[in-house]
Amino acid sequence: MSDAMAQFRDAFFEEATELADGMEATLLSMDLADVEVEDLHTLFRAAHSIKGNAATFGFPEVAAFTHKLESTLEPVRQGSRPMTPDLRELLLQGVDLIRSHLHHARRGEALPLKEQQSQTVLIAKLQEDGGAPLSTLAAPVTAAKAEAPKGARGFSIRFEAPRDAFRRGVNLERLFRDLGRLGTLQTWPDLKRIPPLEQLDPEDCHLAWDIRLETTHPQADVDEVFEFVAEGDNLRIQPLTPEGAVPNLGEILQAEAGVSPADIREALSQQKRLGELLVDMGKVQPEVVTKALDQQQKKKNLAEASTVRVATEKIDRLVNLVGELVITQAMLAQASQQSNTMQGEEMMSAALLQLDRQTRELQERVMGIRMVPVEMVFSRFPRMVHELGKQLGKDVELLMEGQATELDKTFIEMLVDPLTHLVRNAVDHGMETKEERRMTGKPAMGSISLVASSRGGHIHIEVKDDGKGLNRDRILRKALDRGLIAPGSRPSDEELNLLIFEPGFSTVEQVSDLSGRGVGMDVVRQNVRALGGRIEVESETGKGTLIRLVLPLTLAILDGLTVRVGDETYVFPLASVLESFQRQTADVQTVKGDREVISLRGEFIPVVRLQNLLAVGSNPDASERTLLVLVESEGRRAAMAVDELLGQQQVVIKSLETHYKRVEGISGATILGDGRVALILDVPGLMRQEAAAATVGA
Amino acid sequence: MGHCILTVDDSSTMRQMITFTLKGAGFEVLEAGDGVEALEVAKGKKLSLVVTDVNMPRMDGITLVQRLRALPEFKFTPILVLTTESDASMKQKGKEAGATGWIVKPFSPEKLLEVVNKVL
Repeated sequence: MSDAMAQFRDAFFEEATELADGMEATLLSMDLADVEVEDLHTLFRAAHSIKGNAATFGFPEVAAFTHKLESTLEPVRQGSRPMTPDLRELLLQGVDLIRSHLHHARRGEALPLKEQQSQTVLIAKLQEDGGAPLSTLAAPVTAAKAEAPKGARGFSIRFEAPRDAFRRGVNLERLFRDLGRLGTLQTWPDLKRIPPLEQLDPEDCHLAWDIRLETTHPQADVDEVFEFVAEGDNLRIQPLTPEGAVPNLGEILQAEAGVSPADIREALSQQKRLGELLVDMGKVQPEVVTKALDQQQKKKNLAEASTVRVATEKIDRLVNLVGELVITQAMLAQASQQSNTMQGEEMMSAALLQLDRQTRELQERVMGIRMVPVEMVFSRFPRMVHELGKQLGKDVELLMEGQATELDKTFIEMLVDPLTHLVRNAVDHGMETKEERRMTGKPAMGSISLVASSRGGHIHIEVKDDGKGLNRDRILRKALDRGLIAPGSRPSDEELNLLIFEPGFSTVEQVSDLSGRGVGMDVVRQNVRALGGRIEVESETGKGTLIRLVLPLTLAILDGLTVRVGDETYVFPLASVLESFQRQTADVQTVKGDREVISLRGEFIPVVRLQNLLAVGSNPDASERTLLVLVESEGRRAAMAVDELLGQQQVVIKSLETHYKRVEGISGATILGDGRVALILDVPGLMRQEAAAATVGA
Repeated sequence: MGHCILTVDDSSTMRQMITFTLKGAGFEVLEAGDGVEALEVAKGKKLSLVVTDVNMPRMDGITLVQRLRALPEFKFTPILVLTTESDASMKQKGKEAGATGWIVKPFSPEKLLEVVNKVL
């Protein structure tokens, strides 16, 4: 800066300070009951001069702030806004701020943060306190901050910068600048995620912030700021308590005392729950509390489960269909009146064709009402994987596909636990540690994918990891130990892999905190079977594991194996059928008089005579049933004797209870293509019956 | 301090629109018709930002991003990809390649400047 310019600047500061002093004197000497108009003009002129000069001499911040005072004074000078004691107070504070601005600007410093804040508050108050909003000068950031009045709504934001932020050329500074433009910003950096120096890759970004943004902008504007760095779970935006409602203590402490959200979270986590406190007081037993909590959860679940939200679009389509049906019905009625003419016959067959199509569509659509996107289960996993990975010190990313795939609502609820378990298992067991991955030349970031898709009447849900794969030898050893397979037998990979779903099976040598207690995988299988589905496992050592849940589209439709016993047709749920074979080829032995068993690969399996159990036909089991169907349920197997396998088909399940009453061994009924009724066999029920009969017989 | 921006697009109309807009906003602008040319133009230059189309002859935008990121002088340079598909997959591909952000076509000059200002 040249000497001459410096001289001018000195002159500016002197003049401006004099003007500010003059404003103060005028404000103090003013008689509010009888305001001299000339005094108001003096005030306005002083502010106007300071603003103009400050802009000229390169102090935009001074200019911007004084501009606000000037705009406040304009309507007062015009007589449209009264000079109240409050306004005088605010203007006096404004004069103090001008002095402070000048003081710091003269030294080439920025206005201290504290004063910036009080400036923000002051400007907001000047605005609130009557009158039109202040016009803004082409303003620097500090002035723009003032746009959101204090106490306005806004957002509490938790932002964890993506690890590759630097490598992608993301400028985090800009982010805060853009946020600052939306309103008043308070930030608390969270450095806890930064690893120790020796593990720190300087090109990785480990920064996180808790942010409090007071703004009148909608959330979409905030989302937009984070557009390039939001990755699902690394950004959480919650609205602050709306104006008028009472904010919670933490929020007030954040705003007023600058207490960091991280500290508040920690304090809250130390706070004990009601149940714990009561237990501590000796008023109640822990089990009672657990029970009460369970009960509460059940009630919550029930409340959620008993209703279903349906897209209006789906309902509209149904309404349309019903409309079409009415027309078809009219067509049929008309056709039946002239059924003896050629034209009538044609019309009849056309109408019937239409009716057929409409009925089918109606069935599909009505079932569709129960369908909800699988997203509802998936949505919880990004967070879970993130936290698990953090806990276990593994870098894991979760990829999800097919979230829009629709599933029966009941399924969604029953899938939560199994999927949670599978995903957890994948992170905990499937995924190697960072070091192991590095040694085997894999990328440090492990990946787990969760894919839902709809394939020919089935829904596939796959949980896939790129971890170490199942350890064949270890599973084999364990299976032998547990007596799950006979010594010397050579199970296929497929069979071996499925052993991990046996109860009590866990190959993890060191039981970890998260999984590996040997419970869980069998529960996964149990739940999937209860849904009429099955599990497939594919695994390649060193490459990863894929677990696929194959589920029927809906509980209302079942994949069945239709069989003939005597004169009756029955349906086995396909999911419980393992295989079928000719009786002659099987090694059937008679034990305890009339009971039969077959010996299959070293295992004795009871033969169930369905005809006896179900009392089919008039004559008791005279003929030898020629075929055996091997079924499995809850880990037990049985060979069901039938006469004929009729085929495999999808059947619509009709409840027997609603139409008749509950029958042991029968889970429902269905109507076959030829109009006859077939009963659907309840395999676990049949086995229980058989076991009971065996005990009685013994 | 003037920012120098490289715009890469096989459509000359698109390049002209971007150049006109950015020049109007006071930026210095360089142009390239595809990824290969972009790498030649960028060589030895100090760029503040690269704005590249995805579908281009010879070398596409995603490859260009990867190639630029591999060069030490462009390791941390903001790069925006222009994508016609507003779907997440192209954004995700860009991100994985190392792009800073994206602009979805069609866009207005205002939108372009808005996004440029977001990363610059």
